[in-house]
Amino acid sequence: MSTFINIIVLFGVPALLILLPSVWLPVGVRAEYKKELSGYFNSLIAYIFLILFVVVSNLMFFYLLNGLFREESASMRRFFAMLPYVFVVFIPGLTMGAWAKEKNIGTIELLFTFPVSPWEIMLGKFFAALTLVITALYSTLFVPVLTQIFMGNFDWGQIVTQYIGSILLACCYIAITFLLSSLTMELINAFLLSAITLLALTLIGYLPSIMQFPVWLEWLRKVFVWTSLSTHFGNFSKGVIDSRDILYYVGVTAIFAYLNLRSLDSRKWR
Amino acid sequence: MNDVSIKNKKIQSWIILVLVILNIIAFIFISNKAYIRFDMTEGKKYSISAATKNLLKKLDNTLVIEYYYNDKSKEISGVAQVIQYITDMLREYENAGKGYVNVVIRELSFQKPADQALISELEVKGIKQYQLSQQEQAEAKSLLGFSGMIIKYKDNETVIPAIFQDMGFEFRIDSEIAKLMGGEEKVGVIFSSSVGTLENEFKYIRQVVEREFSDVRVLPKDHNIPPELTVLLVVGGKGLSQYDMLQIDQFLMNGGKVFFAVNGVDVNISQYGMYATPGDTDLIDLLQHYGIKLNRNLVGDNQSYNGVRQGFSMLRYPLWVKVKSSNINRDSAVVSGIDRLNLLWTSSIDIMDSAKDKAHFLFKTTNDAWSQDQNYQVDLDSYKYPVQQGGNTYTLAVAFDGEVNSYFADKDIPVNEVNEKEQFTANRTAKGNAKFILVGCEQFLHSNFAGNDEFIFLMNGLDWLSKDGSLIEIRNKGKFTQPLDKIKDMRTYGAVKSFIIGFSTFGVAVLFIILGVVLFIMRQIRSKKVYEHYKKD
Repeated sequence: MSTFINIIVLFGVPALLILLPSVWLPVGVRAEYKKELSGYFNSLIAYIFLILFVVVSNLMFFYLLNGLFREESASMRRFFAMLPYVFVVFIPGLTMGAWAKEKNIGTIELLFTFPVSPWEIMLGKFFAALTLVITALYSTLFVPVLTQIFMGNFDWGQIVTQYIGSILLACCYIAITFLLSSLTMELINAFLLSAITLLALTLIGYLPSIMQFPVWLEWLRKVFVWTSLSTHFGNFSKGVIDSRDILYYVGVTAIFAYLNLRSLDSRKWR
Repeated sequence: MNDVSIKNKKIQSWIILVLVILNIIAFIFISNKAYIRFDMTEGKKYSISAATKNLLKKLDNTLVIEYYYNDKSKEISGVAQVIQYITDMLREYENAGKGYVNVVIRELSFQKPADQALISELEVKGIKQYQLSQQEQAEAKSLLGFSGMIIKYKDNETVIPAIFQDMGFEFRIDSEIAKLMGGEEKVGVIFSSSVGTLENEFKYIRQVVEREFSDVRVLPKDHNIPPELTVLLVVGGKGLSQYDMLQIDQFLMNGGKVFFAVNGVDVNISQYGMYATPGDTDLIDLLQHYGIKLNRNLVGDNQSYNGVRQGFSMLRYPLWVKVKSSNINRDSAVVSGIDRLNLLWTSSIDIMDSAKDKAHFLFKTTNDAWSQDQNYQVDLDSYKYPVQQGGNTYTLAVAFDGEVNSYFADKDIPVNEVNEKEQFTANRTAKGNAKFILVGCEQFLHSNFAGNDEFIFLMNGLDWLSKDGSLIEIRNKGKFTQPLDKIKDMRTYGAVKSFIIGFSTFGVAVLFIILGVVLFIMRQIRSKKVYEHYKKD
């Protein structure tokens, strides 16, 4: 029974996220989603992203972090401990052009003349980027699957939670990088700004570990821990789904998506 | 847009931004107050177990659990996770206690004058400060931390001085609660090892046993075993007299339970090198009388052993057997939660026909093991290359529970020659229900070699002997790794490992390239069709 639930959750959540824009969401979202996704796959972007993601993250996991085989333990915790930092580089690389490229080559004005609302365009772009990230993420599923077949039994409840948490984390990263991409016209600026911001938001959770906080700044320490993107990933990483973490990721994604819309709207009156 | 409109838009934007920030704060606050957690791990490692719930159901008075930690401890990321885990688990205790469990969690600070007095008071009660350290990228960080617990029930109180590990936390707290609720077992330790003392080489035995049993007594040789003891741990056996045999035999006949860790072969390390001699203890004869034969041999396992580090290289040494999870008896509560065990210079055990229905194996070697019955070779050079022929499986530990006749039923009662004041004066029990565990090796408890799994096995064994075993299932809780041991053969293991790394890293990348090429060809075909369609027109 638990195996059945694990399979349903593991594949159901990403399937839902991919089917949502292509089947159920308004036609404007669908059109933009298909345009963005075919844009990724008709160019080299998708393949470079997918290949680099799989090769780099697996090599880091197996050789840099001595994952799986050094301790001979069927656990992917080290992989998922590393994942937020892999995302810090790869997601800005994927999304840096979301708005900045449109602005740079002037297609943004054309885009907003189509009979679709800005939020539909943004959602289409968001889900297209998310689809690519989920594809990359799920291609690493070969590691636990092959290891399970040949070498040892994993705790699949934990693995499922880790993948679901990674999807939520990716949603946050994409939403944040979209906002930052909308603030600049240059791709390299968008990438650097996004990578630095994500790194800062990921690392601030560890600030209390490396610096002393005076008593009167205790609240600041709590704020750092609470606002860090990596802190909330901890529960998912160990196999626990906590409503606080889900609310945090959904909330942060929604807030940055909203700010992204405001930022796009501001070009009319700035 | 005119200037006024633009100004209004800007003001509106700032207002929205402030509202968004306020929303975030409210959102964090509310989500912290009302939340739910789903523990998706196998065995619900982050939820309290049925054994704990049953224990809490027995409460007839308020149980107060006070957990104290300092703010600095949370600066070490590993400890912060443990504190979070403990906090979450204690909330679960409170919920399961149905009003009988009162949890107090306090974060204290050395800097706050108001907390300083309480910290001093807690230290007097037994909560200890520890130096915590964490290796940062550039430098090591070290600070003073504490994380301890006081549990109160009726007029009794117990202190857990330090909790810096999530593994076994639930078991530990349950053991303390069970102690407070009464029914304490009394453990005796007969230590007679040929390679060390209980104070030095085997010092962790006492520490580990005392963590769970508050009444632990070390029994000297040639003395009577106090009748109030319920469990006995016998380590070694060298030099035990016939009078000691009588004491152990009668202890078993009268309902006592014993954990034996006895060498079939003694391995000694001296300045001249390592050498082995057949086990010199009468316990082997005593156990054989009950139907369990400890062989005076050394077992080696070609497929599962611990290497010995020599310089920068690891030498193969099959006499340090590593028991794999697939060779552990999953039907036995004593070892079902254990993934691996290391045994040093162990001997095999045979369950004789008379004991077949009373005993079961706990763990064994792989099917590529061998044994030396004489001319024992223990030096490292003998095992550099796999020249020993395996092909056998040997049982390395057994659990026995059944009726037996006393070893001394038809023998004269031995006289205590060393300690003449203490003689056997009670009525001899000729038959009884004996319950014991036997491991053919004492050095698996040696402080230099024993790890977590070995001590968990020891404690599980003592639990199985002394209690109903309900708590055994949660002793391992918090241990989140499972071994990769489906493949027994080391060469196959290496090949499969390379395949997994190769396929999941480069094989998948090649699949993406193939996908790209297929999509490219499909696009080309479609473009060609479109081109030809318009060309016709």
